[in-house]
Amino acid sequence: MLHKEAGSVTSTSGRCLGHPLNIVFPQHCNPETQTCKSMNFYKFSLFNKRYFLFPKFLLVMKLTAIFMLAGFLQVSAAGFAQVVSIESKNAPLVKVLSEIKSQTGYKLFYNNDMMQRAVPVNIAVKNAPLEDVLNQVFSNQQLNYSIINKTIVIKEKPRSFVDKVVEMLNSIDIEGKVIDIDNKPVPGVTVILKGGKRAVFTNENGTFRFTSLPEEGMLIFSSIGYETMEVKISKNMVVKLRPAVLELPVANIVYNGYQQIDRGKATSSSVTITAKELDKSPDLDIMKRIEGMVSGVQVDTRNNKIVMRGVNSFSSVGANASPLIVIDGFPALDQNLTSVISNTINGNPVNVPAPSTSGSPVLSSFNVSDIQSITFLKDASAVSIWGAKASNGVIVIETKKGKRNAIPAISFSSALSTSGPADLSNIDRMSNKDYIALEQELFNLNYLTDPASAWRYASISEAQEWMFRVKRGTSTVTQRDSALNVLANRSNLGQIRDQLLQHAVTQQYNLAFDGGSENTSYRISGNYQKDRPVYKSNSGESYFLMANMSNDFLRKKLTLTTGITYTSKKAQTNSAAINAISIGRLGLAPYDMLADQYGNNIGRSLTFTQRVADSLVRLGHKSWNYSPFDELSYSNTIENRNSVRLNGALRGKVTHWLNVDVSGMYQKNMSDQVLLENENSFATRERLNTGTSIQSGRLVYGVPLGGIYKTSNSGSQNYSLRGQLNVDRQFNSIHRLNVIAGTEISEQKGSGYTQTRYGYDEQLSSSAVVNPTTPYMTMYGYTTTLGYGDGTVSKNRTRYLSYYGNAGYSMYNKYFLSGSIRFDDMSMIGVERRDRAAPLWSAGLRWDVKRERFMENVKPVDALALRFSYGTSGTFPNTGASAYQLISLGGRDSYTNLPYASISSPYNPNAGWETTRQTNFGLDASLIKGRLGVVFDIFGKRTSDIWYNVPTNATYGFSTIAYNTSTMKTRGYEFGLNGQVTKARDFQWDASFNFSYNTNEVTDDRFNSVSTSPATPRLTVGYPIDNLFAYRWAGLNDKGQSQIYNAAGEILSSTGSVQIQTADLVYMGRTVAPYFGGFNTSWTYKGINLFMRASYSFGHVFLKDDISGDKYPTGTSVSGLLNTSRVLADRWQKPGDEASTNVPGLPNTNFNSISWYKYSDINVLDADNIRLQQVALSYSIKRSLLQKLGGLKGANVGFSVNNLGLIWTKNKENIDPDYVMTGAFSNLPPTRNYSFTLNLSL
Amino acid sequence: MKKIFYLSITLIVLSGIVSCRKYVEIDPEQTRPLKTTTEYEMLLYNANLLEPSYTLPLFSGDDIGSDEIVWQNSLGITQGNAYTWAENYFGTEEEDSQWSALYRQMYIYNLVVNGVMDSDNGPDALKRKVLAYAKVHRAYTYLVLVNMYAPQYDAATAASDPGVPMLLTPSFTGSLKRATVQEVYEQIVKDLTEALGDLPAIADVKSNPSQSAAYGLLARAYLNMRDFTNAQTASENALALNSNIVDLNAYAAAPATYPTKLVDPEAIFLKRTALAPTFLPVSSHMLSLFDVNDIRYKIFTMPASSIQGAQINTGRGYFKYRLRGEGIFIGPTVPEMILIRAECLARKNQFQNAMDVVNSLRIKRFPASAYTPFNAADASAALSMVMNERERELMGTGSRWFDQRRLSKDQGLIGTVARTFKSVSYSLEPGSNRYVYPIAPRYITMNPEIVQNPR
Repeated sequence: MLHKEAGSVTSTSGRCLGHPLNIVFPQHCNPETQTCKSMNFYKFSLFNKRYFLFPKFLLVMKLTAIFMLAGFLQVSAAGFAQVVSIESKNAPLVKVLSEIKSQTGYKLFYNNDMMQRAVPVNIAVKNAPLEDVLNQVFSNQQLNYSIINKTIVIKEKPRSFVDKVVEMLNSIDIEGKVIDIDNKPVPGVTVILKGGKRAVFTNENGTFRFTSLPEEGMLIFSSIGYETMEVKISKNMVVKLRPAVLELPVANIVYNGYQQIDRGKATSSSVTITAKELDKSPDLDIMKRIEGMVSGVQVDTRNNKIVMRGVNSFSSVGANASPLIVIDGFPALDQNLTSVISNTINGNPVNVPAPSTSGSPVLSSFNVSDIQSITFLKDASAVSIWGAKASNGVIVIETKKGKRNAIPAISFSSALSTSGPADLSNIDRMSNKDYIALEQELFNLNYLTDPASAWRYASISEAQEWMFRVKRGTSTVTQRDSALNVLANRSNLGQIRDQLLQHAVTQQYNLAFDGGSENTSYRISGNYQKDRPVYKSNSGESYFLMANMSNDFLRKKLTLTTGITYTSKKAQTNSAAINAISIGRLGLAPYDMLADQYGNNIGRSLTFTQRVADSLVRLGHKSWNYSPFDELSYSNTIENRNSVRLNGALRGKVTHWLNVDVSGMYQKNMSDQVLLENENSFATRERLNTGTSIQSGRLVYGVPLGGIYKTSNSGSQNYSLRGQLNVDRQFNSIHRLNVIAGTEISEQKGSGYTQTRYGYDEQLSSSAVVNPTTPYMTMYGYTTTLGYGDGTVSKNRTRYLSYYGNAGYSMYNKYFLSGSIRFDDMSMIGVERRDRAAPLWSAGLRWDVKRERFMENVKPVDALALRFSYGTSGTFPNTGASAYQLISLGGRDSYTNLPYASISSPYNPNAGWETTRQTNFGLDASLIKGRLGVVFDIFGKRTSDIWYNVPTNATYGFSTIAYNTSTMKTRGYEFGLNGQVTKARDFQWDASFNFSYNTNEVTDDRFNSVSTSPATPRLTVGYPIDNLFAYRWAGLNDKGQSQIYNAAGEILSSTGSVQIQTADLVYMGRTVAPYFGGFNTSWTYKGINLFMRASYSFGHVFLKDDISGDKYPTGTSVSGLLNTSRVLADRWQKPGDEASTNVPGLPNTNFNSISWYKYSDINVLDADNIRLQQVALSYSIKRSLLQKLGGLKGANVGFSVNNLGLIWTKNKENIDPDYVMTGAFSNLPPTRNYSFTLNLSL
Repeated sequence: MKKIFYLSITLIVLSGIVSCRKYVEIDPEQTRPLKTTTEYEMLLYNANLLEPSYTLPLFSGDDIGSDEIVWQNSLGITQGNAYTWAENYFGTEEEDSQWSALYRQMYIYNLVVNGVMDSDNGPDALKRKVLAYAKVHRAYTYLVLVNMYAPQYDAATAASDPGVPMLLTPSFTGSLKRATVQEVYEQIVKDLTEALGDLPAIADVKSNPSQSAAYGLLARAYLNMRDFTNAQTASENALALNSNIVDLNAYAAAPATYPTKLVDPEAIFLKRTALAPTFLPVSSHMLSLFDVNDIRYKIFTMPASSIQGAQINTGRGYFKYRLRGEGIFIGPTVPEMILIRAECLARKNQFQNAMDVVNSLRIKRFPASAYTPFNAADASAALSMVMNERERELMGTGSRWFDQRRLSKDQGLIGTVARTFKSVSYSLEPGSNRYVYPIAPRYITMNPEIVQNPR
């Protein structure tokens, strides 16, 4: 709307409807000038309150209709005459102009401020031409007009020299002071002359001088953290600024999900990442964006895990160790920032398995572009409001909302990234020659069986076949050696890269639209993401749609906020590529090509030798051949996830200090998976063939012909409802009390099942009727059944009931006290309420030292505050603790069809909470005029009653029994530094650095592990729980078997009866980095920004894990690809080798020998590393250029390189400790990735 | 006035949310406290947990074995130890999966025995039946344990020989001192005898206990105690309830149609080995006992070269369990009852009767053209014929290992067993300490009152 007085001249018929016509986009106006900024052209405050007493929302809903109607009116206005009759005495200029407008149909374009300075008009004309009338009207004004395209544009008159002199003589010089509500001077306040271009600032005493001011003018006072005020100019004016309640910059707010707290008043320890910081990295995976950004938060992107401030409990994995993820005030249903998709068919809505290897498609749970901020709540005082779910910290995500009184804006962003080809040279792979030598030794040692000796034998590798040919006498040694030589010089890596792998590509597109009027704000956004990982036939796609709206009613006494988010995700996984390079049956020997010289795919029979397979095919079997490339088209697991989240909140203002909130959220996730192993897939062909017997000379099919169609469906839903009272009261200028109290209920439930259909025909979309327990005859002469595993429908349901309260009290805006208490009760079978419902509390203190008088003169310190907090948090072990004997139901025996029950956990009458007490000291400082920000925190946590599966004598019936038994402590410190190294007009250099340390220790002296196994960390008093113990390596003996030292220094042999004592193992260190953090820096020159991000972790160790018992090639399964670990090439082969190698030999192998080698101190390496994550260059297009580009508000283009890899690692082998070998491709670090980003706003 | 209005609205809304604790105390899904009789009953229907029993005796007995190194390489470490009657089977920290699984079952049996009579919503008859079920299961399990981990029953020393820890209540504390062999056997007999009255004569489903199962287990227990009179009575009682023998002639041509476990007429009570190896080689000793016309030889053993998954290509492997792929069944069967009865008769010098009984089984095992009935000149010849028949009938089930232990108390029925494993020779004399399995050191470390078996 153009101006506030709209409608006060009453002669037009469509007064309210007509005004929207006057919205004119000011192409001729420079948005950089003050004049234009203060114009209200864009505002949607269309209607004056006086004329519309209807509830506002009705009108808002009618907006569209009004706009349409307005469109017609504009057309009719063109027919008005250009003569005017008007009579007015001392009427405001505005009124007169409006009258002219209504008579002529001309549009008006002006600035409200100008109008206020206009002189009242006296005029009396009849049917006078428009221009004459206007000349008359403007004759006395300081203003001028021009008519452009039927619009009367009003401008300030260019002032003559004389005008200026007169003005100077009329002007005054003033002095003034700005104070806050505590009567403290406020320095750094911007004082602007309204309508002018001049501004001054208050000094540290809050005073300012302003010269040559018009006597009747207004001054505008603005400062961060205070409400902007307009005050009439007077001499010696004193202005009292009120603190701004709303719209603090995001980084200055701690949003804990229940309330917003000014960071400057918070007693708690937390870190907020803003949208701006998130946007610096273009990664699809939000985990990668926050890695190294937040002190005290360890992000393990390899295992998709976040740990905040170390562990508090012995269960360092699973839900019990993960922070709670909250979105817009309510816990998210999907408690993962990112899901990594596995190809396991899973019908359980609770436990969704993650794949064991890296390189699977990634689906983000949230649209990063919708995130306004992510707050990491770390200490007890911050998290206790979340009660029982929060003992591992809380991650609060707040989404973007529209702003009140904001111009509608559209923003678009896009990011496209592509990776280099997978670097297969990083696979721990011995040379072909060594590989063949390994096979030769296995052959010589009789570990292999000649498949020609019986039809049923599985095929062997090409090299092994040549070895057997010599043995059989069908080939000479010379022929074999020349054939092996050919194999030794042939590598399939090139074909694997070309045919099974692809350049990883990710795409993101985001479009958002937001705006707001005085009583309404809205934001709508849409996002599309696509992830194409390095393995072919794998991909992930996500669509996000979000709409938020907020409306005020009853003169802003009531605010209704609503939001809806819909997410649709789809992922396809296929393991053909990863299988081809993994150890095992489907792995390709290094010389096994994928395609022949003519480019035809090579299929190999795995189950039988090629000769037997071919003859079976002649008998009527389907092909027995397996080709990884062909398999890319079959056996895809396709997963669809749909989720919807609705939230609503109603806030009522009861008094100026009391608000009431009622809010709720409903979330629903639905997921289905389909795995179609169609008739052409290897798994199905093999199954069909195996089930095909020849009876009386004809083929009898035991398994219905067709594909196998496996599906899973699962869904979970959650609702929460909350009522909350908010009190914020200033008692006098000294005391201020802020209290919230509320209650909340929520329920989470889910169900899911799987189903397998046989004989599936894709054309008909139909499957065969089968009785899965009816035996059928196999080709091997025995019978088997299809088997039935789909009987169970997984279900779960939990309800929560909580009461909570949080109070903050401040005195002199200098001393802050906070306390919070929460009482949680939840559905927990078999636990008495006294054990089930626990009150959790915290208390905190903040002292704003800088506000003390003695700090006034410490100039370099702008702000200094000390914080202290203490509180408790608890976790109820969800592993089935119970005071009663619990049983699980849900199954029927597949033979007897009788429903059965099983014991889920033994009875434990004392099951209860794990309790963590946390103490936190913190310091916040701002130095050198805000150029250096320092945050330091030191914390200590003590956990008692840790739920632990105590090893029990299995004779009692259980190998472990869980008790609330142990205690541990965790302590650490965090340090964050934010600095502006230089700040010049055009050049700015920012850097931030964070450093975190944490360690933990078992403090229960009953924990003195007698474990002699280094495989799992041993819980022992005085040691951290992520400890790694190793054997002390004593070299190989003359049989190539491992030897170790015992504590007494004697050499133990792996054979015979070995009695290893606990003391024989040595402590090597922690497996989780105690020291970690990140560093980032950015240089900005004009619109160009160069950004760099690195992360580091120090002080931990890792196990090289290059040979393990089950991957050792003498194990029972020696089919397919053998272990290719390079160290295996240096294995012991003959007596004497023990002098030069530590790798146990193939002969005389035994379990101890391999396990001793694997877990010995020689294979424990330092994991310290520094990783360069990203270098990004971006350019923001200059405003002047944007103007030429059609009025864009902003445009930014960027290019970045990600996953730059290790800069430095301590271990000499140069192994990336985060991506150690686990038997498959997962030992490969992600390859370098290049991203292009584009951001536009208009 | 307005404020009061708003405030009261607020309070109404809030009080609606603040519901009572009943809100959270809802019936759980799929997991619940054990209360009703039906739930106790369902605990005993968990065949996947309760059917599996021992595994290692499969490898210890002289009815299996091969000198082929490729097969020997395929054995797990513990299996190799059992095959060579090693001094120790388990590492210091290692669990004995058989011990732990059997005692895990025991916890459930003890839970049922001690709780079912006080359970809710069950008619008394059902409670008594479930109690009887649990007792039969418990007796079976103790019989297995005492025959693996304790010396063979000998009336002269049983009262002092350490048996196995004998828990009769579900508990996680208390002494695990090994009860004597005598005490364990007495408990087995007591449980079975007490159960008899409340059991159905014949099982509804063969994985559930029945009177015939209880008699079958009593026959086994008495046979081990060398109480041949009671063993014979018990076997006759069992046979009175079920005496079906499968005529193998019906399956000689199409062995894969052999009845499945639930409808196998010979099965009395289903228990199976915890593990069914892909390939179990028939020992040369066992092969020497076979007449090539014996249908059991023809269909229940196969040339290794045609057994899918066999590591080697020479000799023969057991195939009965592979025909159906349901496991190696080791519970009492009708043929076993017949053989117990025959053995007892032979030992009581009624050798002609013994031969008649054995022949009633053998006639179903040969084609009519090749069948010749057994005839014995005296009791000792009859006994050794019965024992050979027992080997053939119960081959590849681990039963032979328990017989070897038992027959060490007889003169001349078994000899020293010798085998070569990865080119090292091992031998086992009758009555050797190595006939008793070692107890995993882990259990002794945790509860030192458990004493290790002498080696």
